[in-house]
Amino acid sequence: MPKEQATVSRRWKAAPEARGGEGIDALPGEVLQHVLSFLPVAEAVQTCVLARRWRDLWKSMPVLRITCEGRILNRRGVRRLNKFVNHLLLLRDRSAPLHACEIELSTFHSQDEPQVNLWIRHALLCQARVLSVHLGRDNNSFELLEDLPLVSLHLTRLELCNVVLNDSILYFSSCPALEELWMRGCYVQADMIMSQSLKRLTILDCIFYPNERTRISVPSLVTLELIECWGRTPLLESMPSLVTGSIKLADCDDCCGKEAGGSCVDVTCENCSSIDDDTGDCVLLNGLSEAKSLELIAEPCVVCLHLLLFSAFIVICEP
Amino acid sequence: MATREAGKKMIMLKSPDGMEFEVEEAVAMESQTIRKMIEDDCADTAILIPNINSKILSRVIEYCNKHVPTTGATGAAASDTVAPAALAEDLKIWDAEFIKVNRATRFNLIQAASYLNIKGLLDLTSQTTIDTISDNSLEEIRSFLSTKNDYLPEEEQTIRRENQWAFQ
Repeated sequence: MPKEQATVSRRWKAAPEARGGEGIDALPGEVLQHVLSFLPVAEAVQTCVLARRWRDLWKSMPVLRITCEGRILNRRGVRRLNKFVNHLLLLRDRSAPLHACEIELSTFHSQDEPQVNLWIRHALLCQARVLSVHLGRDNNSFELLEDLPLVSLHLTRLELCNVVLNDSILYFSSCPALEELWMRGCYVQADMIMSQSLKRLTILDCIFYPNERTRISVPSLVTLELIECWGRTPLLESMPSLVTGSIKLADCDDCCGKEAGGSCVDVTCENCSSIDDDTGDCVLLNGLSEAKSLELIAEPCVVCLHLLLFSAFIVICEP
Repeated sequence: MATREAGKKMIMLKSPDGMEFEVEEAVAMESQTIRKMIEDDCADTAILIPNINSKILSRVIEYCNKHVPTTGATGAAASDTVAPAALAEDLKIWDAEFIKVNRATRFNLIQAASYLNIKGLLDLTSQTTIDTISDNSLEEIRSFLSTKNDYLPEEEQTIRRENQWAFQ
């Protein structure tokens, strides 16, 4: 190790003063708030009785993890959850920055519904940059999100799991900072997924059942993962900045019996009929043509002919 | 380690107790605080890290060394031969071993990670602390965190009543 006389830069901001002792109280308040935000939010609020210093720490936590911890909620449970979260959001320090809001609910059997839409709008009003909504897979919670667009100048990442997605919510014209959309197990009824700013799109194990084939219009996209999707394969519009694409088609509706050596009985089959999406006969490749690295996988009977990938099953891999 | 050979720019980090650590610039830049100093051209050949003693600083550097992306100058990832999932799993196992430290060291690491702005390390240390206290009684949590209850009994009762909605 060289021992030459080094010039030492002292242009640091003042280091936070240690508060003495070896306990957690030696940490500055903002660090404690970060630590607290790893707790389910109810437990985080309960730390207010630990000591005077902890009394208001929960009010400025940068991350809220609203969860029912996998419990099945009956009507009373849902009411209690609504009461709790409404208190939390109203009594929280609104001037403290909210970095992320995570909502994770499992099954509930109740005519009352968790007021998730209200919480989401509140989190966006508080300028949350990250929003994640994970719902249970049962029918009750599946259709919880209302069909309204999200409005936020600050949201950069959105995570949706096991939710029904109608048109408006996937139309991100009012989220100009959104860079990352992650979806798993969602039921997509939207005709369009649209964002001018989106850079990373991950769609895992989702079902596409729109009226029209879903168009994915994300011109700034850099990374695309479309894995194990069911229903009608979505149509990719031009993505000139795409660097990495990974597509794995599952047992989707774009299947044709003829490809497997049999006959096709699907009257809507776009491989056999002349139904056209007005896409120049190409659903996937138009959007993927600029990718530097591309992985395409499909089951044999998926219509990968002129409709999805022109007339041959093509894997492109450029250095 | 073939990707980290000669030609890499080195940075000297100094702890307040006089120890010096020579690290690759890329490793030091795992800290967003140091990254900003380097990018703003505020960093000279050596950087004094206040308030973080050599024992903790060496652990922080160890963490950054392990987590610095092994990407060559050409942009070709050294992980081309190793699946990213396997790499992530390897890191997870390494992290679990790394964080097996005593309570005081862990709190010091939290403070260092926060000050140096190393998100991965801050999340790891915070999560581990939370895993330790979660599901414990209030007294056990106080004891683990070495927090002294300075509420008067009636004060504590008031706080509880005020936040009754969170205790149901």
